[in-house]
Amino acid sequence: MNLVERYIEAVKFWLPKDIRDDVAAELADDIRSEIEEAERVKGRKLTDDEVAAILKARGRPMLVASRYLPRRWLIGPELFPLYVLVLKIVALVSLIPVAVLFVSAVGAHQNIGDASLDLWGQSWNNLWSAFAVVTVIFAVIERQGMNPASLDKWNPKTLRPVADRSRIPRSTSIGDIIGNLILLALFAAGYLSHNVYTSPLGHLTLSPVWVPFCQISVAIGIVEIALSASNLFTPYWTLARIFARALIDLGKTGAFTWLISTNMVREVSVAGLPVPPAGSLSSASVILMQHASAIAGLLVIVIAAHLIWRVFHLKPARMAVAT
Amino acid sequence: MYHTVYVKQGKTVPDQELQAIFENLRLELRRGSLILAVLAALRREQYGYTLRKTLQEHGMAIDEGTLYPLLRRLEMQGLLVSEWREEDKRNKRFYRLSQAGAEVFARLVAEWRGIGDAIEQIKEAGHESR
Repeated sequence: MNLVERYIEAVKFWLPKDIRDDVAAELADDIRSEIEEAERVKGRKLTDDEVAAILKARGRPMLVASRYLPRRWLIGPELFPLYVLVLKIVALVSLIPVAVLFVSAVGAHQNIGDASLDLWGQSWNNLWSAFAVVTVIFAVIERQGMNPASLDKWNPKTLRPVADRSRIPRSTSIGDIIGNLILLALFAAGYLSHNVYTSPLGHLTLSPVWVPFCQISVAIGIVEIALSASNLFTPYWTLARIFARALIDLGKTGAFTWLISTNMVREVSVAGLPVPPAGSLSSASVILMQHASAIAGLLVIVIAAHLIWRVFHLKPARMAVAT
Repeated sequence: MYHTVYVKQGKTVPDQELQAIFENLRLELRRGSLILAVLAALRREQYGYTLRKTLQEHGMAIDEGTLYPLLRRLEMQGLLVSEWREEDKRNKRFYRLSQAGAEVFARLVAEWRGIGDAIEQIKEAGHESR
């Protein structure tokens, strides 16, 4: 019987004081009844191994005790989907400044290894701290019974409309076409074929790269018009269109980076204005030049993220069913 | 009018997986019925171990880890009453249905029969529409 007493004591350890003795007495009686019946059938006393087998079949003491306790959770099933959503948002928000800092560090020609290690350690700490804070807040909400998910005050009419993520908004395609047509018109009118602009309003000298930049932009613009026209008539993303879009965006990024890396604004003056305000535009151009690679890196990350997002939200083969 | 549907075609469920799914659903189905069985059995006073044996003999086996917490819960809800008494030189806790428990039991049995009838009717309707 020693084993049974040890088992009962172990179960009692996990039980709250107010039900401990009561539950233990009933459990002890049940186990002893089972042992007595087994002994009656076998016609002899059970061995320690046989008693141990009976106890093992009943389960670990902690598990047995847990069945007498009310079900508790840190964050309940009603609140859990919201908790996961907030964690995802927090993770994303924590990563954005890290990505920006990393690109800036690389752009400033810091050692990539050192920059990565520093940012990795910092972002890891930030992420865990943010997760801990969110978890504590949700645990408090759960504990206090302030469960927003269980509130009855909601209106089905305020639910947001169903978004077809693989659909390309027609407004986007039309906007792209109009923008590129304006670019083509300016190019055809000869406004983009020189890098020095003089008028009664002032004087502007751009980098010599400006002219080839405009030519490349016009070439990309023609391709973009073709893609946008196609998107306008069949407004759904396909794998080919997603990659075409990414290539166009990468082309624009490459051309823009080339332009700003050559100090885009060389000389600027505005009639009637003193030098500093006009000069500040030139200074901004120098800052852009210094951070050209960081800006390019950031844009490439955004394009890649957009591409991945679109590929993952691409619907499988569509099947239309008449209703 | 058209809408989009996604079809998961030709998924064959292995026998072992099917058995596990069935076992889970069977347990879920029995969980609610167990309360009815316990209430039915406790129209006659019994202590835990004999109750377990009674249920087992009638094909409603229930493990002690489920039975005793259930008995405590039903007692706290006022559907059962219990009393510690000595029998065979040992203290045992005897349970029986309370007045409220008898009323709830009668209503649950009616509900249970209603569910059975409804399922039969739905089955028949499904059979006829084929």
